[in-house]
Amino acid sequence: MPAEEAFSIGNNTFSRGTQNLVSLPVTVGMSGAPIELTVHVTVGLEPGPVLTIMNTIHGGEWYAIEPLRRLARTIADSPMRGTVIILPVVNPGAFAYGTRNVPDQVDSPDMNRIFPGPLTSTGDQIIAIISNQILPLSTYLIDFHMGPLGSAFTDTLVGSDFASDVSQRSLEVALAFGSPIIRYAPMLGGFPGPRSSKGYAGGTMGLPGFGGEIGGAGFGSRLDKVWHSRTHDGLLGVMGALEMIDDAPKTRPPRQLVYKNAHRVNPRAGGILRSRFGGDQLGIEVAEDTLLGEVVSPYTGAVLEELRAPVDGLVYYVSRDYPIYPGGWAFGMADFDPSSSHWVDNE
Amino acid sequence: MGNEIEPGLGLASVEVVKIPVATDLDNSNIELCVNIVVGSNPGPTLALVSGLHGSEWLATISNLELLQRVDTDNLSGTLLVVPVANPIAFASGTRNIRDESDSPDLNRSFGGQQAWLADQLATAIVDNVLKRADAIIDFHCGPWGAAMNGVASPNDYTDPDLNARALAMAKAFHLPHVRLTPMATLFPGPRSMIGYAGESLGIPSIVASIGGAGFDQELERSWVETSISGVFGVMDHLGMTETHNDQDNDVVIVGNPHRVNPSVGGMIEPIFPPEGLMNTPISEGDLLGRVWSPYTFEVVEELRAPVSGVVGMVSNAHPARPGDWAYLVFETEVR
Repeated sequence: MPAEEAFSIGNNTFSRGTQNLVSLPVTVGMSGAPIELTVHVTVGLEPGPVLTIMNTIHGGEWYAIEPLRRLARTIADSPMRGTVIILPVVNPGAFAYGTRNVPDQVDSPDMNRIFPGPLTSTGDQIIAIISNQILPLSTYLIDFHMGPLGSAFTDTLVGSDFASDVSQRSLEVALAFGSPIIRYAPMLGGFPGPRSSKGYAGGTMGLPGFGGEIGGAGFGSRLDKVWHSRTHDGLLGVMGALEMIDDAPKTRPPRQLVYKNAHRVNPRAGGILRSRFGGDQLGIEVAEDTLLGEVVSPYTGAVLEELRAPVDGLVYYVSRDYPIYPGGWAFGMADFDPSSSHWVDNE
Repeated sequence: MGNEIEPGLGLASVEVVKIPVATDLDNSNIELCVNIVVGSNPGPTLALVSGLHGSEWLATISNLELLQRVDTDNLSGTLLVVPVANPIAFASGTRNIRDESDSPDLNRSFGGQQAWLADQLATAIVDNVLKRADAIIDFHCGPWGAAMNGVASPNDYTDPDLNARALAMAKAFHLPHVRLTPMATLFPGPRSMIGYAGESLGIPSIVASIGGAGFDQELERSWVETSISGVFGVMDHLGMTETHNDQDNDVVIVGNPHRVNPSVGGMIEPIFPPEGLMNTPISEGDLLGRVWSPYTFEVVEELRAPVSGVVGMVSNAHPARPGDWAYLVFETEVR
């Protein structure tokens, strides 16, 4: 490859110091329209790491699109070492419907459980392109899964059961991202499993990275501004830690919790969630048995269920008042018991 | 209805009645849930119906809170409150029921004779709620990403007295604007609940479109309070309550809305602030929002006011399909 052509994906080649938009053909859908994977590739003036950032692998988890758009602008004209690959919408079919999965009849519906994409469903074909054409070029992977409408998260998932150096490097970049709460737990032998993006990347390919979750949709513009800035700046923090840029913003809070045990506090009954811990309470400390919210009947207003903290810990996901299904996202507790967690002090 | 309750016998009460409608394919029994609030004194019956569209649930929250605030000891007459008129669409979080109906919109199914769930629900609402009411408020609001803040009254009922009574109710909601439009014949039309109630049943009806979801919590809370306050204003007007929530205000009559919705799919970038809903005048050509591609990050469409007036629907940052709700602009004239 000529020196000025520094990077390539498939048949597409890119020169140093350029920002490029590529549509990788996937297949043709039932409407007759081509299904494509849109990729932004920003190649720095100098060689360096290849940071791949994915988003919207679940159609309702689109919230990071705005900060990724901003990141693309920020790095467009900035001196950079290495390459940043952004896939803002991995799952366009589900995104268009606002659903987690593509509404087809396949038996592998969740695109974040089918890596490397061995079958021929739309989802499998998209994942195969990522697995075969993009991840092999990458040195780090970040996959965003922000809260779908009504729920907001502050959490970063790192696999502790990858090869030791992969897990360690994953934790380091997660700390650099600046999330106050980091789950360091078995991913291959736990959640979300070996066929998730991070599980496959870390476990099979030895690719370090993390799953990012800052904020969520449906909380209004004030919190949008806060959360989008944290995500954008956090990514610059990662790039700074990887020495891809100079003068990265300070992203790390005074201390960060690294924990193992997460507890979902999601309802068994469907109804309207009346939340007592909303967007402004994300990440705060609560005691065991604290009432986090209630599910009320949308038909009578009667309380159907109380949702209480099962442990002492930090609330790593919260919700606003909204209609919620059985099992829908309500609250999550990060257990900060010292036997399974520790604090990283940054001051 | 299952439990006949005679108002005005000093038996103030709140009862919940569940009216069987149909059995769905998942073996669930679809029911229409009606909250019956009987006051201590005789008086008219006001029906409050929200959730004809499953995605418009902020109005459900408003009416559930209203139920908590009604004091039966100081109520003359009866409230029939249906917080969720379309439980199936509510469960799927969609405007309409997800079946193969050729008339899927419940608010276009009134008077329908088919066996679709929407038709059966509409029939249940008519027989058990509307026919027992002296006045009706039909609640709508924005789904995720959009919000409204207005009240509308029909000006095209065949009976001019009905038009006048509906307008009086709308003014009693105490918002600064009332939208006066041919709702019975044009939009939403004769098979909407408001169209059917007026033309077929002779019951004055208005539409309250207050709020939407996905905005700053303080703003959403203000819309809930606006809705509750408006209902008490109507109840005062009907002689059902005496909250003295009757502040005089000049009401501006607005005409038909101009939709300013995206013609392409993309991310809405709001420019017009939601706090300006129904109170900040705009001029023709003003930029209300933009649509940008979540794939290329480029702006693909600008959403501009087609006329001067007030903005009757606002949007926040959210993904939108072609035609999805973004903005409405009303031309204004003072009466």
